[in-house]
Parts: sequence; structure tokens; C-alpha cells
Amino acid sequence: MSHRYLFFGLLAILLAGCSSAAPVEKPVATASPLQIVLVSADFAVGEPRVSFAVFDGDKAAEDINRVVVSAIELGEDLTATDMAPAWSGEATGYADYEVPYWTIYPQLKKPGYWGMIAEIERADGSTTRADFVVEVQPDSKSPAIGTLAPASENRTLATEPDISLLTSANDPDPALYQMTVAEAIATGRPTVVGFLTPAFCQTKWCAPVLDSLETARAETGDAVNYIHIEVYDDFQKMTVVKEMAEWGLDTEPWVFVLDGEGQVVARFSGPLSPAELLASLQPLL
Amino acid sequence: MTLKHIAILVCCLALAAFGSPVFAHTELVSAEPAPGAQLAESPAEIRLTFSEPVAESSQIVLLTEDFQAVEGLVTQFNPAVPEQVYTPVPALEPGVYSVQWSAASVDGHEIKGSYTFSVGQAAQDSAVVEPATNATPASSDGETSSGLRWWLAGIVVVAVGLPLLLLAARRSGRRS
Repeated sequence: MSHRYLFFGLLAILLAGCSSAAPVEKPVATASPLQIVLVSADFAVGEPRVSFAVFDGDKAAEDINRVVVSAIELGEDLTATDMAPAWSGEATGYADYEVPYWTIYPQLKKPGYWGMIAEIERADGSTTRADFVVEVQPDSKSPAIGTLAPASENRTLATEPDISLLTSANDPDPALYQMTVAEAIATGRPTVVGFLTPAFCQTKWCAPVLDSLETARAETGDAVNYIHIEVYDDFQKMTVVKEMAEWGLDTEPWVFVLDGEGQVVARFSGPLSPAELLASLQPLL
Repeated sequence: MTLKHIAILVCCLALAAFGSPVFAHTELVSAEPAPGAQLAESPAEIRLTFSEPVAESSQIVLLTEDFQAVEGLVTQFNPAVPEQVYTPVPALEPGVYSVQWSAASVDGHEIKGSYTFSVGQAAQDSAVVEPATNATPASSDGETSSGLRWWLAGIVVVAVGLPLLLLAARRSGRRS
């Protein structure tokens, strides 16, 4: 009998303990001076690249150890009906760019608005929450990953010997203007195509991207083709090259990585650090 | 200096004077309430100033901590200060709010960002993050009832479990 009493006693304790979910500490959220700036664009259903910078005042916050992001599905009025994250993951930080930024590839299965909760762990051990919203389209306007890139017949030094008409870069590297995209694909080697306008977008979000291409080229050598397509084909009339429409682009900078068959394996809008570019090339080398 | 460089310089000066015609990237220069502001009372408006004139497709949205959009915001523009957008704000309950802004340059190129401010909350050194896996952020009532449940659970443990254990131990002692 004693064991029965002991059993019921323990059972009572267990039931009491299980009668409620684990205690939830009251989240003492408070306003944070941190700001988020979304620096990539053209998000489509799937696993879009979402890149963001974190600012503390007017400077990039550089004391961040870790950022974990959760994606919440929002309605058309940007309101959540269910705060259960549809996806959570740790962001990859890239400090080898003029402005440090973070990248995630969230699994966003539906078009519409998605709320992103970024939990930002700082060097002093504190954690700050910052929310931002991305709008996801059913399809991408520009070549999606897994599709064949347009085999463009862009201008090169062979068709336009005056390099100053091929690029707005101050000190252009002729190596970036040797091939059309069609010719590059025909080589069977991976290709990096950058749509950039160094002189006309001098902000920190776009100007350093050409440097990232150069840094990657120095690393990979001739194993990878690198092509810079200047956004403008006339620096006085400011007309846009036909390849922008051909690739469905209405912003810059954009960088696409193609495999040896011309299939898009990575695509980057906005800032792109050498490390992020080289990481995308690694599987192709 | 080549003709191209002169042309580029002229274009850059023109862009500086009249705003970039194509691929501009505007930036948030100042905001009221400021990022991280801890306000005793609800602000009357949100006013954002950007680094260059912004198009009328620019927008301000205000979200609560649990992603509920605050109704009644209407993004407005002041032609006299084309770098600014603002919206009146209805009376806000105490809490933390995130300002979600999108600013389109006159060329239509858009950049988005966000920041938070709080209303009616005491200043604290750092934010404590709500666990992302916490499916439904509890309201203050929910938190109270959750805490109450645990107090009741404790009372049940003491009131029911302990006497039973003592009784079992006593009977066991009698037998031995």
C-alpha cells in the first residue's frame, strides 16, 4: 500500500508540474537605437537573398556577434495573425565590405509581406530585437537561380575599343571588358556578371561592388570569367544599356554568378563583399 | 582629364544639383521620434528626413511588437521640404513600436529600413528579446494568468503531494 501512496503522491506532483506550459518570462522589450536598412531587393518566393545592415546612430554597428532572424507571415495590411515563425536562421555577417552587412536565405513559401524579427546579440552580451518587413513576389523580375542567363551580346573592347565608353570606372581594368556573356558561357567556365555604374552610384551600397569583383578575380584567376556591364551606354544622355532590360533589372548593383553552362547559381542585389562572392564561386571551382 | 571624365563630372554636378536621375540611394538622415526614443506619451506624428527628395510612393508604417499595424497613419509630403515625409499618429498604447519606412528616390529607386521607439516605458539599458519560438506573445493579462497558474501548481504540490508522501512514509515506517 505504501507504494501506492508514494505513486499517487509523485503523480500529484507531476500533474501539478505539467498542468501548465513552461513559464514564459515577461519579454521586456524596449526601444533600441539600432536601425535596420534593407540593402537587397527583388525578393521572390523560395529562398531569396535578404541582406540588411544594422546601424547604431549614423554608423554601422560593428559590435555585433550574432544575428538570428525569424520570419513571420503577414497579411496584406502587414498584420500578423500567427506569430509562430515560419522560418528561423542565423544570418551570415560580411565585414569585408565598406559597410558590414548580414545575409539570410529565408524559406518564404508564399508571396506577400513577411515580418522579420532580428535578434541581435552584441559584444557586451546584450540582445536587441529589431523588426523589418520584406515584400515577396511570386516570381523574380531578373533571372532566377536555376534558370539560364540571357546570352547577352554586350559591348566589349572588341566592339568598342575606347574603354572610357564601356565603363564609368575611373581606373578601369580591361580584363572585365573582354567577353560577351554569350562568349563567356561558351568557354564552359563559371562567369560573374556585374551590372554596375561606378561613377554614377558612389554610395557605400554600390560603389565597392566593382572592387569585390576585382578582389575575387585576383583570387580565382582565369578559372572564372568576369564581366562588368556598365549600366549606361551614353554618359551624357544617360541612356541605359539594353542588357538591363534583357536581364529584367531596374536597379543596380546586381551581380550574377553563372555555372559553366550559363545557369544562374547565385544572384546578388545591393552590397556584395568579396567573401560572399567567393563563397558562391567555391562549389564551381 | 579626358572628355569622358569631364562629362562624368558635369553629370555628377548635375546630379548633386537636381538629384540623381536614375540609380540614387537615399538615406534616412533624421527621425522624430528618434531611433530608441523612450517617450512618456504617444507622439503626435512621425517625421522622417532623407538625404534627398523622395517620391510620393514613400511610406511610413507603424507596427506593434506582435506585428499589428497601427491604423490611422497617412503618409504625407511637404513640397516645401521634399526630403521629408510625415504622418500623424493616433494615441498609442504603452509599448514598443517599429517604424517601417520605405523611401523612393525621385527616380523610383526604393530603399527600406526600420527602427523602434517606445511609449510609456521606463528607460532600460538594453532590450530583452522575446523568444522567437514563443508562438503567441502573451498580453499582460496572459502573463498574469500564466504566473497565477504556477502559483496554483505550487500550492497543489504542497497541499496534495506532500501529505501523501508523508502518509506513505509514516505507513512505511509503521510496517518496518
